[in-house]
Amino acid sequence: MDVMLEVKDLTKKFGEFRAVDNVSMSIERGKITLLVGPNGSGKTTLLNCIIGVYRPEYGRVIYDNIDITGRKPHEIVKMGLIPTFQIPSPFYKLTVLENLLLAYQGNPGESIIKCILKNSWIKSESEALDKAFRILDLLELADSYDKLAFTLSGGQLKLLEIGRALMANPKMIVMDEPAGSVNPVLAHRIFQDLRKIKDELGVTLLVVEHRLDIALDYVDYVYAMHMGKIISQGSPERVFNDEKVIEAYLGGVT
Amino acid sequence: MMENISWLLDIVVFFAVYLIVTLALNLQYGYTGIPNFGLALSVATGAYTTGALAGRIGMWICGIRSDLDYIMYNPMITSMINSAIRYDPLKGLTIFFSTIIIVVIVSAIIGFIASYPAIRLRADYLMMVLIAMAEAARIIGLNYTPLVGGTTWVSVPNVFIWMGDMASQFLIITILAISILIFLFMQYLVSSPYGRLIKAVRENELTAECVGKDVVKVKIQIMMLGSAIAGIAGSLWSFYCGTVLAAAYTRTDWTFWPWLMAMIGGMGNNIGALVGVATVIICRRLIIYYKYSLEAYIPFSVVWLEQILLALALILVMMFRPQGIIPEKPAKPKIKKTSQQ
Repeated sequence: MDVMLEVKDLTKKFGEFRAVDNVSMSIERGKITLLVGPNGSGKTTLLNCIIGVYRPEYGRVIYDNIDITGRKPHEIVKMGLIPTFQIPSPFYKLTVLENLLLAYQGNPGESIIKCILKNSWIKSESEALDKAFRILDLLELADSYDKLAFTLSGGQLKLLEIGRALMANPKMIVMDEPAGSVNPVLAHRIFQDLRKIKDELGVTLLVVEHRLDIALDYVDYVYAMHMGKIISQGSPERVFNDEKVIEAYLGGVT
Repeated sequence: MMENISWLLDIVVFFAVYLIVTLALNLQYGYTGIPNFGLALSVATGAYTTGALAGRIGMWICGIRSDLDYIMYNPMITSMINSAIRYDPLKGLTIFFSTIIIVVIVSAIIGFIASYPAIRLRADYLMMVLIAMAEAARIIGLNYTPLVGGTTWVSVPNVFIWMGDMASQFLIITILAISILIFLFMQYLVSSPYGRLIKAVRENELTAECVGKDVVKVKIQIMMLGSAIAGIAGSLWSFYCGTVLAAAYTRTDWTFWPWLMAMIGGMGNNIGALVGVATVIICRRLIIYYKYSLEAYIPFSVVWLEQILLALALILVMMFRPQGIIPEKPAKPKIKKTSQQ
Protein backbone atom coordinates (compact mmCIF):
# COMPACT_ATOMS: atom_id res chain seq x y z
CA MET A 1 0.00 0.00 0.00
CA ASP A 2 1.25 3.45 -0.92
CA VAL A 3 0.83 5.43 2.28
CA MET A 4 0.29 9.18 2.04
CA LEU A 5 -0.32 9.97 5.68
CA GLU A 6 0.45 7.83 8.65
CA VAL A 7 -0.64 8.50 12.20
CA LYS A 8 1.26 6.50 14.80
CA ASP A 9 0.01 5.98 18.37
CA LEU A 10 -1.32 9.52 18.61
CA THR A 11 -2.64 10.78 21.94
CA LYS A 12 -4.03 14.23 22.66
CA LYS A 13 -5.10 15.04 26.20
CA PHE A 14 -7.09 17.98 27.48
CA GLY A 15 -6.21 17.90 31.17
CA GLU A 16 -6.76 14.26 32.11
CA PHE A 17 -9.29 13.67 29.34
CA ARG A 18 -7.92 11.75 26.39
CA ALA A 19 -9.75 13.22 23.41
CA VAL A 20 -7.64 11.12 21.06
CA ASP A 21 -6.37 7.96 22.64
CA ASN A 22 -3.54 6.04 21.04
CA VAL A 23 -4.86 6.27 17.49
CA SER A 24 -2.99 4.78 14.53
CA MET A 25 -4.14 5.01 10.96
CA SER A 26 -2.65 4.95 7.47
CA ILE A 27 -4.20 6.74 4.54
CA GLU A 28 -3.56 5.44 1.07
CA ARG A 29 -2.42 7.77 -1.67
CA GLY A 30 -5.08 8.75 -4.21
CA LYS A 31 -8.01 7.39 -2.25
CA ILE A 32 -10.86 8.90 -0.28
CA THR A 33 -10.66 7.81 3.31
CA LEU A 34 -13.60 8.46 5.59
CA LEU A 35 -13.42 9.03 9.31
CA VAL A 36 -16.75 8.45 11.03
CA GLY A 37 -17.89 8.54 14.60
CA PRO A 38 -20.63 9.98 16.76
CA ASN A 39 -20.37 13.51 18.13
CA GLY A 40 -17.58 13.94 20.64
CA SER A 41 -15.64 10.91 19.49
CA GLY A 42 -12.47 12.93 18.82
CA LYS A 43 -12.57 13.22 15.02
CA THR A 44 -11.96 16.95 14.86
CA THR A 45 -9.27 16.80 17.55
CA LEU A 46 -7.48 14.14 15.53
CA LEU A 47 -7.63 16.34 12.43
CA ASN A 48 -6.36 19.32 14.37
CA CYS A 49 -3.40 17.24 15.52
CA ILE A 50 -2.67 16.23 11.93
CA ILE A 51 -2.79 19.79 10.54
CA GLY A 52 -0.72 21.26 13.36
CA VAL A 53 -3.34 23.28 15.24
CA TYR A 54 -2.84 21.05 18.29
CA ARG A 55 0.40 19.49 19.37
CA PRO A 56 -0.22 15.88 20.41
CA GLU A 57 1.20 14.60 23.70
CA TYR A 58 2.36 11.30 22.26
CA GLY A 59 2.71 9.78 18.84
CA ARG A 60 3.80 10.92 15.41
CA VAL A 61 2.24 12.13 12.20
CA ILE A 62 4.14 11.15 9.07
CA TYR A 63 3.08 12.86 5.86
CA ASP A 64 4.66 11.80 2.58
CA ASN A 65 7.54 10.18 4.51
CA ILE A 66 8.23 13.38 6.46
CA ASP A 67 7.58 13.67 10.18
CA ILE A 68 5.32 16.71 10.58
CA THR A 69 4.43 16.28 14.26
CA GLY A 70 4.38 19.64 16.01
CA ARG A 71 5.01 21.73 12.90
CA LYS A 72 3.01 24.90 12.45
CA PRO A 73 -0.08 24.79 10.19
CA HIS A 74 1.40 27.17 7.62
CA GLU A 75 4.48 24.97 7.20
CA ILE A 76 2.30 21.89 6.73
CA VAL A 77 0.09 23.70 4.20
CA LYS A 78 3.16 24.63 2.17
CA MET A 79 3.94 20.91 1.92
CA GLY A 80 0.56 20.33 0.25
CA LEU A 81 -1.53 19.08 3.16
CA ILE A 82 -4.53 21.41 3.26
CA PRO A 83 -7.28 21.50 5.88
CA THR A 84 -10.86 22.68 5.55
CA PHE A 85 -13.02 23.42 8.56
CA GLN A 86 -16.26 22.06 9.89
CA ILE A 87 -17.64 25.54 10.51
CA PRO A 88 -16.69 27.51 7.37
CA SER A 89 -14.16 30.15 8.39
CA PRO A 90 -13.53 32.31 5.36
CA PHE A 91 -12.08 35.80 5.57
CA TYR A 92 -15.52 37.30 6.09
CA LYS A 93 -14.87 40.87 5.05
CA LEU A 94 -12.92 39.94 1.91
CA THR A 95 -14.52 39.04 -1.39
CA VAL A 96 -14.97 35.48 -2.59
CA LEU A 97 -12.24 36.04 -5.16
CA GLU A 98 -9.81 37.38 -2.56
CA ASN A 99 -10.53 34.40 -0.36
CA LEU A 100 -9.37 32.13 -3.16
CA LEU A 101 -6.41 34.28 -4.19
CA LEU A 102 -5.11 34.14 -0.63
CA ALA A 103 -4.87 30.39 -0.82
CA TYR A 104 -2.62 30.57 -3.88
CA GLN A 105 0.86 29.48 -2.81
CA GLY A 106 4.05 31.28 -3.65
CA ASN A 107 2.81 34.70 -4.77
CA PRO A 108 5.89 36.94 -4.41
CA GLY A 109 3.58 39.94 -3.87
CA GLU A 110 2.90 38.61 -0.41
CA SER A 111 6.41 39.45 0.70
CA ILE A 112 6.71 42.83 2.40
CA ILE A 113 9.67 43.77 0.20
CA LYS A 114 8.59 42.40 -3.16
CA CYS A 115 5.05 43.78 -2.95
CA ILE A 116 6.53 47.21 -3.70
CA LEU A 117 7.79 46.03 -7.08
CA LYS A 118 4.70 45.34 -9.13
CA ASN A 119 6.69 43.62 -11.86
CA SER A 120 7.77 40.91 -9.47
CA TRP A 121 4.24 39.74 -8.66
CA ILE A 122 1.97 40.72 -11.51
CA LYS A 123 2.56 37.50 -13.45
CA SER A 124 1.94 35.29 -10.47
CA GLU A 125 -1.14 37.34 -9.59
CA SER A 126 -2.64 36.87 -13.03
CA GLU A 127 -1.98 33.11 -12.90
CA ALA A 128 -3.70 33.06 -9.53
CA LEU A 129 -6.66 34.94 -10.99
CA ASP A 130 -7.02 32.46 -13.86
CA LYS A 131 -6.89 29.55 -11.48
CA ALA A 132 -9.34 31.18 -9.08
CA PHE A 133 -11.89 31.75 -11.87
CA ARG A 134 -11.52 28.15 -13.06
CA ILE A 135 -12.28 26.94 -9.55
CA LEU A 136 -15.17 29.38 -9.17
CA ASP A 137 -16.65 28.06 -12.41
CA LEU A 138 -16.27 24.49 -11.19
CA LEU A 139 -18.04 25.29 -7.92
CA GLU A 140 -20.66 27.45 -9.65
CA LEU A 141 -19.64 30.47 -7.59
CA ALA A 142 -18.35 32.56 -10.48
CA ASP A 143 -21.29 34.97 -10.33
CA SER A 144 -20.55 35.83 -6.72
CA TYR A 145 -16.84 36.49 -7.18
CA ASP A 146 -17.03 40.10 -5.99
CA LYS A 147 -19.38 39.48 -3.07
CA LEU A 148 -18.06 39.71 0.46
CA ALA A 149 -17.80 36.24 1.95
CA PHE A 150 -20.21 36.94 4.82
CA THR A 151 -23.04 37.51 2.34
CA LEU A 152 -22.86 33.91 1.04
CA SER A 153 -25.28 31.20 2.12
CA GLY A 154 -24.19 28.30 4.30
CA GLY A 155 -23.93 25.90 1.36
CA GLN A 156 -21.93 28.38 -0.71
CA LEU A 157 -19.54 28.85 2.20
CA LYS A 158 -18.95 25.10 2.25
CA LEU A 159 -18.11 25.27 -1.46
CA LEU A 160 -15.83 28.24 -0.89
CA GLU A 161 -14.07 26.24 1.80
CA ILE A 162 -13.44 23.46 -0.74
CA GLY A 163 -12.40 25.98 -3.39
CA ARG A 164 -9.83 27.45 -1.04
CA ALA A 165 -8.34 24.03 -0.46
CA LEU A 166 -8.14 23.37 -4.22
CA MET A 167 -6.44 26.71 -4.78
CA ALA A 168 -3.53 25.79 -2.53
CA ASN A 169 -1.96 23.08 -4.76
CA PRO A 170 -3.11 20.23 -2.57
CA LYS A 171 -1.51 16.81 -2.52
CA MET A 172 -3.86 15.84 0.25
CA ILE A 173 -6.93 17.57 1.70
CA VAL A 174 -8.17 16.98 5.20
CA MET A 175 -11.86 17.86 5.31
CA ASP A 176 -13.88 18.27 8.45
CA GLU A 177 -17.51 17.62 7.49
CA PRO A 178 -17.49 19.12 3.99
CA ALA A 179 -21.18 18.23 3.75
CA GLY A 180 -22.10 18.95 7.36
CA SER A 181 -25.29 20.93 7.97
CA VAL A 182 -26.31 21.08 4.32
CA ASN A 183 -29.36 19.35 2.82
CA PRO A 184 -28.95 15.77 1.53
CA VAL A 185 -29.18 16.78 -2.13
CA LEU A 186 -26.32 19.26 -1.85
CA ALA A 187 -24.45 16.85 0.40
CA HIS A 188 -24.55 14.21 -2.34
CA ARG A 189 -23.43 16.81 -4.87
CA ILE A 190 -20.52 17.79 -2.66
CA PHE A 191 -19.41 14.15 -2.37
CA GLN A 192 -19.76 13.67 -6.14
CA ASP A 193 -17.63 16.78 -6.64
CA LEU A 194 -15.03 15.44 -4.22
CA ARG A 195 -14.89 12.19 -6.14
CA LYS A 196 -14.46 14.14 -9.40
CA ILE A 197 -11.77 16.37 -7.90
CA LYS A 198 -9.93 13.35 -6.57
CA ASP A 199 -9.94 11.67 -9.95
CA GLU A 200 -8.94 14.77 -11.89
CA LEU A 201 -6.23 16.13 -9.61
CA GLY A 202 -5.11 12.88 -8.05
CA VAL A 203 -5.33 14.28 -4.54
CA THR A 204 -5.73 12.17 -1.45
CA LEU A 205 -8.72 12.97 0.73
CA LEU A 206 -9.37 12.38 4.39
CA VAL A 207 -13.00 13.25 5.05
CA VAL A 208 -14.87 13.43 8.32
CA GLU A 209 -18.61 12.84 8.19
CA HIS A 210 -20.99 11.49 10.75
CA ARG A 211 -23.91 10.73 8.44
CA LEU A 212 -22.93 7.28 7.25
CA ASP A 213 -25.68 6.85 4.64
CA ILE A 214 -24.56 9.84 2.56
CA ALA A 215 -20.87 9.06 2.43
CA LEU A 216 -21.22 5.34 1.87
CA ASP A 217 -21.10 5.30 -1.93
CA TYR A 218 -18.22 7.67 -2.40
CA VAL A 219 -15.40 6.47 -0.18
CA ASP A 220 -12.73 3.82 -0.50
CA TYR A 221 -11.80 3.09 3.09
CA VAL A 222 -13.35 3.88 6.44
CA TYR A 223 -12.08 4.38 9.97
CA ALA A 224 -14.66 4.53 12.78
CA MET A 225 -13.85 6.34 15.99
CA HIS A 226 -15.54 6.25 19.33
CA MET A 227 -14.44 7.90 22.56
CA GLY A 228 -11.04 8.74 21.17
CA LYS A 229 -10.24 5.26 19.87
CA ILE A 230 -10.42 3.60 16.47
CA ILE A 231 -13.07 0.90 16.92
CA SER A 232 -13.33 -0.40 13.39
CA GLN A 233 -11.71 -0.05 9.99
CA GLY A 234 -12.03 -1.50 6.53
CA SER A 235 -14.27 -1.24 3.50
CA PRO A 236 -17.40 0.93 3.91
CA GLU A 237 -19.80 -2.04 3.96
CA ARG A 238 -17.76 -3.84 6.57
CA VAL A 239 -17.47 -0.88 8.92
CA PHE A 240 -21.10 0.16 8.61
CA ASN A 241 -22.25 -3.33 9.47
CA ASP A 242 -19.82 -3.67 12.34
CA GLU A 243 -21.74 -4.17 15.56
CA LYS A 244 -19.37 -1.99 17.54
CA VAL A 245 -20.01 0.94 15.19
CA ILE A 246 -23.79 0.49 15.28
CA GLU A 247 -23.68 0.29 19.03
CA ALA A 248 -21.52 3.44 19.28
CA TYR A 249 -24.03 5.35 17.18
CA LEU A 250 -27.13 4.04 18.89
CA GLY A 251 -25.85 3.72 22.41
CA GLY A 252 -23.94 6.95 22.65
CA VAL A 253 -21.58 7.14 25.61
CA THR A 254 -22.01 4.00 27.69
CA MET B 1 -2.94 88.35 7.04
CA MET B 2 0.24 86.92 8.54
CA GLU B 3 -1.78 85.69 11.47
CA ASN B 4 -4.15 83.82 9.19
CA ILE B 5 -1.26 82.18 7.38
CA SER B 6 0.40 81.04 10.57
CA TRP B 7 -2.95 79.72 11.77
CA LEU B 8 -3.22 77.72 8.56
CA LEU B 9 0.38 76.49 8.73
CA ASP B 10 -0.24 75.40 12.30
CA ILE B 11 -3.17 73.27 11.13
CA VAL B 12 -1.14 71.91 8.21
CA VAL B 13 1.71 70.72 10.40
CA PHE B 14 -0.65 69.15 12.92
CA PHE B 15 -2.51 67.50 10.06
CA ALA B 16 0.67 66.15 8.42
CA VAL B 17 2.20 64.75 11.60
CA TYR B 18 -1.04 63.21 12.87
CA LEU B 19 -1.76 61.82 9.41
CA ILE B 20 1.49 59.86 9.56
CA VAL B 21 0.72 58.53 13.05
CA THR B 22 -2.86 57.65 12.13
CA LEU B 23 -1.75 55.89 8.94
CA ALA B 24 0.63 53.81 11.03
CA LEU B 25 -2.19 52.94 13.42
CA ASN B 26 -4.52 52.21 10.53
CA LEU B 27 -1.95 49.85 9.06
CA GLN B 28 -1.54 48.07 12.38
CA TYR B 29 -5.13 47.96 13.59
CA GLY B 30 -7.32 48.84 10.61
CA TYR B 31 -5.64 46.47 8.19
CA THR B 32 -3.83 43.88 10.30
CA GLY B 33 -5.90 43.85 13.49
CA ILE B 34 -3.06 44.56 15.93
CA PRO B 35 -4.58 46.89 18.56
CA ASN B 36 -1.57 49.09 19.12
CA PHE B 37 -2.38 51.07 22.25
CA GLY B 38 1.31 51.84 22.55
CA LEU B 39 1.44 54.16 19.59
CA ALA B 40 3.01 56.83 21.80
CA LEU B 41 5.96 54.46 22.21
CA SER B 42 6.84 54.67 18.53
CA VAL B 43 6.30 58.42 18.37
CA ALA B 44 8.38 58.92 21.51
CA THR B 45 11.10 56.66 20.10
CA GLY B 46 11.25 58.83 17.02
CA ALA B 47 11.30 62.04 19.04
CA TYR B 48 13.85 60.86 21.61
CA THR B 49 16.12 59.49 18.90
CA THR B 50 15.92 62.83 17.11
CA GLY B 51 16.59 64.75 20.33
CA ALA B 52 19.52 62.55 21.23
CA LEU B 53 21.06 62.21 17.79
CA ALA B 54 20.28 65.21 15.56
CA GLY B 55 22.55 67.46 17.60
CA ARG B 56 25.24 64.82 18.02
CA ILE B 57 25.26 64.11 14.29
CA GLY B 58 25.42 67.88 13.78
CA MET B 59 28.41 68.16 16.13
CA TRP B 60 30.19 65.49 14.17
CA ILE B 61 29.33 66.88 10.74
CA CYS B 62 30.15 70.48 11.69
CA GLY B 63 33.34 69.48 13.54
CA ILE B 64 32.34 70.88 16.93
CA ARG B 65 34.48 69.90 19.93
CA SER B 66 33.21 66.48 20.93
CA ASP B 67 34.38 66.75 24.55
CA LEU B 68 31.49 69.09 25.36
CA ASP B 69 28.72 67.48 27.39
CA TYR B 70 25.85 67.28 24.91
CA ILE B 71 23.03 67.74 27.40
CA MET B 72 24.67 70.36 29.63
CA TYR B 73 25.88 72.60 26.82
CA ASN B 74 22.94 71.79 24.57
CA PRO B 75 21.75 75.36 23.82
CA MET B 76 25.32 76.40 23.00
CA ILE B 77 25.96 73.34 20.82
CA THR B 78 22.68 73.83 18.96
CA SER B 79 23.42 77.45 18.20
CA MET B 80 26.94 76.50 17.04
CA ILE B 81 25.42 73.91 14.68
CA ASN B 82 22.83 76.41 13.48
CA SER B 83 25.48 78.98 12.64
CA ALA B 84 27.59 76.32 10.93
CA ILE B 85 24.76 75.28 8.62
CA ARG B 86 23.38 78.77 8.01
CA TYR B 87 25.24 78.98 4.71
CA ASP B 88 25.64 75.25 4.15
CA PRO B 89 22.39 73.58 3.00
CA LEU B 90 24.16 70.28 2.38
CA LYS B 91 25.15 69.86 6.02
CA GLY B 92 21.64 70.78 7.17
CA LEU B 93 20.01 68.28 4.85
CA THR B 94 22.52 65.59 5.82
CA ILE B 95 21.60 66.06 9.48
CA PHE B 96 17.88 65.96 8.64
CA PHE B 97 17.88 62.87 6.44
CA SER B 98 20.46 60.85 8.34
CA THR B 99 18.49 61.46 11.55
CA ILE B 100 15.29 60.27 9.90
CA ILE B 101 16.96 57.15 8.53
CA ILE B 102 18.31 56.31 11.98
CA VAL B 103 14.87 57.01 13.48
CA VAL B 104 13.27 54.55 11.06
CA ILE B 105 15.73 51.83 12.02
CA VAL B 106 15.58 52.47 15.77
CA SER B 107 11.77 52.70 15.83
CA ALA B 108 11.41 49.48 13.87
CA ILE B 109 13.72 47.69 16.31
CA ILE B 110 11.92 49.13 19.35
CA GLY B 111 8.57 48.14 17.81
CA PHE B 112 9.89 44.61 17.41
CA ILE B 113 11.22 44.42 20.97
CA ALA B 114 8.06 45.91 22.50
CA SER B 115 5.70 43.55 20.74
CA TYR B 116 7.86 40.42 20.78
CA PRO B 117 6.81 39.13 24.23
CA ALA B 118 3.10 39.19 23.37
CA ILE B 119 2.81 39.02 19.57
CA ARG B 120 1.79 35.35 19.75
CA LEU B 121 -0.88 35.99 22.37
CA ARG B 122 -4.43 37.21 21.97
CA ALA B 123 -4.92 40.80 20.88
CA ASP B 124 -5.95 42.11 24.31
CA TYR B 125 -2.77 40.88 26.01
CA LEU B 126 -0.67 42.47 23.29
CA MET B 127 -2.61 45.68 23.84
CA MET B 128 -1.79 45.73 27.56
CA VAL B 129 1.87 45.00 26.93
CA LEU B 130 2.05 47.86 24.42
CA ILE B 131 0.37 50.36 26.78
CA ALA B 132 2.92 49.42 29.42
CA MET B 133 5.81 49.72 26.98
CA ALA B 134 4.70 53.22 25.94
CA GLU B 135 4.53 54.35 29.56
CA ALA B 136 7.92 52.79 30.23
CA ALA B 137 9.43 54.68 27.31
CA ARG B 138 8.17 57.99 28.66
CA ILE B 139 9.50 57.23 32.15
CA ILE B 140 12.88 56.26 30.73
CA GLY B 141 12.92 59.50 28.74
CA LEU B 142 12.12 61.48 31.90
CA ASN B 143 14.76 59.85 34.05
CA TYR B 144 17.65 58.93 31.81
CA THR B 145 19.18 62.36 31.25
CA PRO B 146 21.78 61.56 28.53
CA LEU B 147 18.88 60.73 26.20
CA VAL B 148 16.89 63.97 25.97
CA GLY B 149 17.82 65.75 29.17
CA GLY B 150 15.25 64.13 31.46
CA THR B 151 12.91 66.72 32.88
CA THR B 152 14.52 69.53 30.91
CA TRP B 153 14.51 69.51 27.16
CA VAL B 154 17.09 69.32 24.42
CA SER B 155 17.08 71.53 21.36
CA VAL B 156 17.05 70.18 17.85
CA PRO B 157 19.12 72.04 15.23
CA ASN B 158 17.14 74.13 12.78
CA VAL B 159 18.12 72.12 9.73
CA PHE B 160 16.50 74.51 7.24
CA ILE B 161 18.08 77.64 8.74
CA TRP B 162 19.87 78.25 5.40
CA MET B 163 16.45 79.15 3.97
CA GLY B 164 16.52 82.33 6.07
CA ASP B 165 13.09 83.72 6.92
CA MET B 166 11.30 80.93 5.13
CA ALA B 167 12.98 78.16 7.16
CA SER B 168 9.91 77.31 9.20
CA GLN B 169 7.52 77.37 6.23
CA PHE B 170 9.91 75.22 4.22
CA LEU B 171 10.09 72.69 7.04
CA ILE B 172 6.30 72.54 7.19
CA ILE B 173 6.11 71.93 3.43
CA THR B 174 8.73 69.18 3.75
CA ILE B 175 6.74 67.57 6.56
CA LEU B 176 3.57 67.74 4.47
CA ALA B 177 5.38 66.26 1.47
CA ILE B 178 6.72 63.38 3.57
CA SER B 179 3.25 62.68 4.95
CA ILE B 180 1.77 62.65 1.44
CA LEU B 181 4.51 60.27 0.29
CA ILE B 182 3.75 57.98 3.20
CA PHE B 183 0.05 58.14 2.35
CA LEU B 184 0.74 57.14 -1.27
CA PHE B 185 3.07 54.37 -0.13
CA MET B 186 0.35 53.03 2.18
CA GLN B 187 -2.24 53.13 -0.59
CA TYR B 188 0.13 51.18 -2.81
CA LEU B 189 1.01 48.70 -0.09
CA VAL B 190 -2.56 47.86 0.86
CA SER B 191 -3.65 47.40 -2.74
CA SER B 192 -0.86 44.87 -3.37
CA PRO B 193 -1.17 41.16 -2.55
CA TYR B 194 0.56 41.98 0.73
CA GLY B 195 -2.38 44.24 1.61
CA ARG B 196 -4.71 41.33 1.01
CA LEU B 197 -2.53 39.15 3.20
CA ILE B 198 -2.61 41.53 6.18
CA LYS B 199 -6.39 41.86 5.87
CA ALA B 200 -6.62 38.08 5.94
CA VAL B 201 -4.59 38.05 9.16
CA ARG B 202 -7.06 40.54 10.62
CA GLU B 203 -10.09 38.53 9.54
CA ASN B 204 -9.07 35.11 10.76
CA GLU B 205 -5.63 34.14 12.00
CA LEU B 206 -6.33 30.41 12.04
CA THR B 207 -7.62 30.35 8.48
CA ALA B 208 -4.65 32.45 7.39
CA GLU B 209 -2.35 29.83 8.97
CA CYS B 210 -4.31 27.10 7.21
CA VAL B 211 -3.79 28.64 3.78
CA GLY B 212 -0.06 28.69 4.44
CA LYS B 213 0.56 32.19 5.79
CA ASP B 214 3.02 32.73 8.60
CA VAL B 215 0.78 34.90 10.78
CA VAL B 216 3.36 35.69 13.47
CA LYS B 217 5.87 36.80 10.86
CA VAL B 218 3.33 39.09 9.20
CA LYS B 219 2.34 40.62 12.54
CA ILE B 220 5.98 41.26 13.44
CA GLN B 221 6.60 42.86 10.05
CA ILE B 222 3.59 45.14 10.44
CA MET B 223 4.55 46.08 14.00
CA MET B 224 8.00 47.06 12.74
CA LEU B 225 6.75 48.93 9.68
CA GLY B 226 4.04 50.75 11.64
CA SER B 227 6.47 51.69 14.40
CA ALA B 228 8.99 52.96 11.89
CA ILE B 229 6.34 55.18 10.29
CA ALA B 230 5.05 56.50 13.61
CA GLY B 231 8.68 57.13 14.55
CA ILE B 232 9.08 59.36 11.48
CA ALA B 233 6.12 61.40 12.76
CA GLY B 234 7.80 61.83 16.15
CA SER B 235 11.02 62.89 14.47
CA LEU B 236 9.32 65.42 12.19
CA TRP B 237 7.38 66.82 15.12
CA SER B 238 10.66 67.33 17.02
CA PHE B 239 12.22 69.13 14.07
CA TYR B 240 9.14 71.35 13.88
CA CYS B 241 9.12 72.15 17.61
CA GLY B 242 12.89 72.62 17.67
CA THR B 243 12.96 70.90 21.05
CA VAL B 244 12.30 67.49 22.52
CA LEU B 245 10.68 67.40 25.94
CA ALA B 246 10.41 63.87 27.30
CA ALA B 247 7.22 64.57 29.24
CA ALA B 248 5.33 65.67 26.12
CA TYR B 249 4.93 62.19 24.64
CA THR B 250 1.90 61.18 26.65
CA ARG B 251 -0.64 58.51 25.84
CA THR B 252 -3.35 61.14 25.40
CA ASP B 253 -1.55 63.08 22.72
CA TRP B 254 0.07 60.30 20.77
CA THR B 255 -2.10 57.24 21.38
CA PHE B 256 -5.64 58.32 22.08
CA TRP B 257 -5.89 61.20 19.61
CA PRO B 258 -4.73 59.05 16.67
CA TRP B 259 -7.16 56.32 17.75
CA LEU B 260 -9.95 58.88 17.81
CA MET B 261 -8.99 60.10 14.33
CA ALA B 262 -8.79 56.62 12.88
CA MET B 263 -12.11 55.56 14.42
CA ILE B 264 -13.98 58.68 13.34
CA GLY B 265 -12.57 58.48 9.82
CA GLY B 266 -13.06 54.76 9.35
CA MET B 267 -10.70 51.89 10.07
CA GLY B 268 -9.13 49.76 7.36
CA ASN B 269 -9.19 52.60 4.88
CA ASN B 270 -6.46 55.18 4.30
CA ILE B 271 -8.82 57.79 2.86
CA GLY B 272 -10.88 57.38 6.02
CA ALA B 273 -7.76 57.99 8.11
CA LEU B 274 -7.10 61.16 6.13
CA VAL B 275 -10.66 62.42 6.58
CA GLY B 276 -10.61 61.52 10.27
CA VAL B 277 -7.35 63.38 10.87
CA ALA B 278 -8.60 66.45 9.03
CA THR B 279 -11.92 66.45 10.88
CA VAL B 280 -10.44 66.05 14.33
CA ILE B 281 -7.57 68.48 13.78
CA ILE B 282 -9.86 71.20 12.43
CA CYS B 283 -12.46 70.69 15.17
CA ARG B 284 -9.78 70.65 17.83
CA ARG B 285 -8.06 73.79 16.55
CA LEU B 286 -11.40 75.60 16.24
CA ILE B 287 -12.37 74.63 19.77
CA ILE B 288 -8.98 75.74 21.11
CA TYR B 289 -9.15 79.09 19.35
CA TYR B 290 -12.77 79.89 20.17
CA LYS B 291 -13.47 78.16 23.44
CA TYR B 292 -12.87 81.27 25.54
CA SER B 293 -15.55 83.17 23.68
CA LEU B 294 -17.99 80.50 24.85
CA GLU B 295 -16.91 80.86 28.46
CA ALA B 296 -19.91 83.02 29.38
CA TYR B 297 -22.44 80.41 28.18
CA ILE B 298 -20.94 77.23 29.60
CA PRO B 299 -21.45 76.28 33.25
CA PHE B 300 -18.05 74.58 33.59
CA SER B 301 -14.45 75.46 32.84
CA VAL B 302 -13.81 75.58 29.10
CA VAL B 303 -10.33 74.12 29.58
CA TRP B 304 -11.66 70.62 29.03
CA LEU B 305 -14.05 71.51 26.24
CA GLU B 306 -12.01 69.92 23.44
CA GLN B 307 -11.68 66.59 25.28
CA ILE B 308 -15.37 66.59 26.19
CA LEU B 309 -16.62 67.43 22.71
CA LEU B 310 -14.32 65.03 20.87
CA ALA B 311 -15.10 62.19 23.28
CA LEU B 312 -18.77 62.93 22.65
CA ALA B 313 -18.09 62.80 18.92
CA LEU B 314 -16.41 59.40 19.35
CA ILE B 315 -19.38 58.04 21.32
CA LEU B 316 -21.81 59.29 18.69
CA VAL B 317 -19.75 57.79 15.86
CA MET B 318 -19.58 54.47 17.70
CA MET B 319 -23.35 54.49 18.26
CA PHE B 320 -24.57 55.60 14.86
CA ARG B 321 -21.77 54.88 12.41
CA PRO B 322 -19.34 52.38 13.91
CA GLN B 323 -17.64 51.87 10.55
CA GLY B 324 -16.55 55.54 10.54
CA ILE B 325 -17.21 58.37 8.12
CA ILE B 326 -15.76 56.44 5.16
CA PRO B 327 -16.17 52.67 5.57
CA GLU B 328 -13.80 50.09 4.18
CA LYS B 329 -14.54 49.13 0.58
CA PRO B 330 -14.12 45.66 -0.90
CA ALA B 331 -11.03 45.44 -3.10
CA LYS B 332 -11.32 45.17 -6.87
CA PRO B 333 -9.34 42.52 -8.74
CA LYS B 334 -5.85 43.77 -9.60
CA ILE B 335 -6.18 42.83 -13.25
CA LYS B 336 -9.28 43.34 -15.37
CA LYS B 337 -10.67 40.03 -16.46
CA THR B 338 -11.30 40.20 -20.19
CA SER B 339 -12.60 36.64 -20.36
CA GLN B 340 -15.26 37.42 -17.75
CA GLN B 341 -18.67 37.90 -19.30
